[in-house]
Amino acid sequence: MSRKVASLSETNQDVIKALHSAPKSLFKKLIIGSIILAMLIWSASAISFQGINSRGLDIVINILKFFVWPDSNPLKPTLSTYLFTFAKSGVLYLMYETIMIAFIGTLLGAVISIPFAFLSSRNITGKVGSFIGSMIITLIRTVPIFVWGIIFIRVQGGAFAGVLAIAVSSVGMISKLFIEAIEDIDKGILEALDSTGATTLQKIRFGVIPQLTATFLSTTIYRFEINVKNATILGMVGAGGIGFTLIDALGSFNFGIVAVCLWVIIPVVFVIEYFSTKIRTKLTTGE
Amino acid sequence: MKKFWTKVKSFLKETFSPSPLVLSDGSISVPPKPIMPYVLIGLVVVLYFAAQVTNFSLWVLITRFFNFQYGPISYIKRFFPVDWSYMPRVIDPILETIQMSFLGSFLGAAMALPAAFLASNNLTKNKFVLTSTRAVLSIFRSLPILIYAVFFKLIFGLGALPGTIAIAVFTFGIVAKMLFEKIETIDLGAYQAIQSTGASKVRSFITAIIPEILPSYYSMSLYAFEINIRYAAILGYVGAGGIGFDLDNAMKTINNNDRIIVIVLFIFITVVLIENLSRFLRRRLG
Repeated sequence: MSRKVASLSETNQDVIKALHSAPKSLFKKLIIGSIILAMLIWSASAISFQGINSRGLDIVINILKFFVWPDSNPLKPTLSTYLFTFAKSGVLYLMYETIMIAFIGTLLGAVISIPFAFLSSRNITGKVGSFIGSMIITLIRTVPIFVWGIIFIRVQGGAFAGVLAIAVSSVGMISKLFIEAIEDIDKGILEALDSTGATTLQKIRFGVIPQLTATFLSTTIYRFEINVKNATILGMVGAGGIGFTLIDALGSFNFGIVAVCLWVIIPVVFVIEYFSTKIRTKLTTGE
Repeated sequence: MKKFWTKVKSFLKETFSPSPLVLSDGSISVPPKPIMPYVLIGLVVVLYFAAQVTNFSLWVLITRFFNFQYGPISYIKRFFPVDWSYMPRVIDPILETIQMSFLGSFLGAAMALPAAFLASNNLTKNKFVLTSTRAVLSIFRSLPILIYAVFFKLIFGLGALPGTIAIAVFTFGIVAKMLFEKIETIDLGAYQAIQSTGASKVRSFITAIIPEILPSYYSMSLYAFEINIRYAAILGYVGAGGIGFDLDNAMKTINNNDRIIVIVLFIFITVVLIENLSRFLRRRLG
């Protein structure tokens, strides 16, 4: 092989030279690889595999069977009682409720985030304000959404608690992204407005708001997309939406209902994700 | 009164279809039809229905929130005094949470690489393979991680295993998506050149594409690990391992309410440490 290469033209010689002079990173790779391997072994020690549940395979087959056709059990007519109905126990109504919880929760979260984000931006309140703000944001993002749900059930159970839980848990991410947008504001535009003699209000109207709207809108839409997914599980703690029906049906082996829920959730989430991506691309790249 | 109405009328007309402007040089500029007013009206209508469905009312919120006897504050009051003696018993579940999300992220990210290859439209020309891989990926992403955890718990029984698999499935979905979007933006010159020497598609993928996407792949995997820590913290609610089980217990049992702060504090510290570590590593990669 090497003899063959040597007989080739000089350009190839240069290529070979460049290849051999590539930085030797074998040692570094070995260290990183062994750290990852050690972490993997340590992590694997947490898992005890007791073998598949005796009914495990049965459950998988059943779920797949019902997912393809939820009415597989003639004794439990699932489609007519859960899917083709707008009753309050029907899956369609529950999904509608879920989306509405996410909608109003996201809007509320975004409204709370605006003043919060301004108060914790480095270019407005300085280092101290931004540090306190970032700690609060991390705290909000850390507290699992169920905890918010359980706390707000004290206000009113059901969908209302879901709205509040979604709102508060959204404040973390939304204001984090809002802050980034605020810290990125181009000061030149404000100076230019100053030079034309604009008042403070005019400076906000024509200098600040136009710079922030696109990011604010796309952040809020993106969070809405996440919140629809979050709202589908809030029902577990009694905070409204489709979650209670879904998790309850899974736990009690009512796979027909599970399948109907999935039939509704998956396309809805998919459609929302599709339109959200479309709108956000339009917002960031301009019309 | 009449004057007021004409003002309102002209305001509405200007908002929905602004009249053309005559510029100083005599040319006429027609402003684009605004969509914002329509969007706002739509939002208000949806908001009305949303408030109706969810029984949302600011009045109830304000009055009940400040109801110190039964409201949320009365619940939060029960978190105090904090039971610090519970601290040593949090460490094991926290470590389990980290282990679950590390292993889950690793497995998911490892599976994501071949899936991303099949799902990127510049490498896979077979329409059927492309669409079906993408469909599977979007199904994996569209369900919350908790539902997978319940599902795998039914199969494998209680413990960290179902949680780990649920995290792996979710990570697989998001990392594969980010990765195929990345692959679709890269220059295929090297890939085609290697293929033209007679190398197989997989071989040229490994030689030409992987080195190019590797830094972003590592960074995506780290990002997934970072967010999975927070997801792993709730999987215990359905018995799929981790700190969530203890948190659920502390929230549901009145006598254990004083443990909540300890648990949340530990999750907080873990999340902050891992986020900062991951961000440091990702900056080095970028």
